[in-house]
Amino acid sequence: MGDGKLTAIFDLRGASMDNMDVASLKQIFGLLQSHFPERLGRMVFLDPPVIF
Amino acid sequence: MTGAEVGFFLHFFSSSSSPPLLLSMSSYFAAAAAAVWGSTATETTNTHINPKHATQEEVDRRVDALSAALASTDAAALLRKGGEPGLLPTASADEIDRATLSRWLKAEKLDVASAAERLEKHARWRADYVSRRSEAEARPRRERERDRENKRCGRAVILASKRRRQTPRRRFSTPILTLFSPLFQSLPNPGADGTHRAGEWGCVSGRRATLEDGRAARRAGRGRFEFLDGTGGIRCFFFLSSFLFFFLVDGTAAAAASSSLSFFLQPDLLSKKTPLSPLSLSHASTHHSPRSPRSSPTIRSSSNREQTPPAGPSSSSLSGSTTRTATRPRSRGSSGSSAGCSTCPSPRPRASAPPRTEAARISLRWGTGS
Repeated sequence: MGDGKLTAIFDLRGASMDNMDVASLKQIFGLLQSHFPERLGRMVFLDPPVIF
Repeated sequence: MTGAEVGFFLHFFSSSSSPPLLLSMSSYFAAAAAAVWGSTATETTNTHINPKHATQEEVDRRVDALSAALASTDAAALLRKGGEPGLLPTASADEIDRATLSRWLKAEKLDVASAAERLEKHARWRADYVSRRSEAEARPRRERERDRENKRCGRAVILASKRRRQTPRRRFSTPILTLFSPLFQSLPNPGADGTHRAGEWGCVSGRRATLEDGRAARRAGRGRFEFLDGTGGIRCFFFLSSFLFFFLVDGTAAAAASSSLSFFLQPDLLSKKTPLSPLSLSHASTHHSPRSPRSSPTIRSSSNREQTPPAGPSSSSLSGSTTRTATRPRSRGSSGSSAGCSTCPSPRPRASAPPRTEAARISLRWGTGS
């Protein structure tokens, strides 16, 4: 985005608890939160399930 | 400045009436206030402030304080060792650019001490973990070489499985075809086996067909599987009939022609009750498997002629090249004989099978790939 911020796009088509790797997601988000602060500029969820 | 000193000054100003003494005391008060203000300015850099409510001057002041706090450490060197060049090229080699400092400050609500601690910890982590990778100019070149290599001898694996779903109105038995193919590989995959899961194709059994993700239910056709890869524009079509399926790849004729495609049969992949068993197309025992006589993958040519694989080690792989893909879903129960197995009896042809005109342009050839 020009200022060092990123746009994250999550393709959630067909996502459900059956194919969700919660442990990996926790590691990924922990890594982003601990080492890449203030880097998220925009987050886009594509076709999220109804839980969102 | 303690509370007693403040109380003393307040008591003195309220009770004193001597101007000279007041002047001397006021100068003392100014000096004391300056000293107190200095210590207060240091302390206020360690308090939390919402960055949205802070003024730019306050942010700049705290960025300066953070830069001064990190000047005596090796955080800048560690950050550069870990590949953090900073957002601005104006920062010198021994300092951290203000944009990076500002980001860490805002993440800690402008608390200088906490930001300095986190940034030092991050610098050590980055120097330890990130610097192990060789980045920069070599990486795009390696990726291009790998892409060329994948196109030359890529290996795709197709897993066939069955997934059962149940809704209040009906039960679905969905065959799932999963393609692992380096042809779709666009991201580095360190530590993996070199294959990438490109996508899944699903189709409910029977006449109602839909894709696994629920899209284009009408376009899915009868027993036709379609997948459009979002990165490379590669279209794959899977045709499933009652006892055979074959596949077509469109848009990557050159890549597919040199690719070695292996088929694996996994009757119940999700439950993992059955181990992964390679299914050689020319293996007679697999074709005669009594457990899954209808789901054995059989490669069909469009002209209803057998495609006999050559003998030797190349018999377990298929290299498919397509000149043009069919645009109309094929009807169920087409006739023809199974390919790659000379001992297999030919499936009973159906008299009502319509002629397949589009599929006549399809050619499949056997080989090991280059």
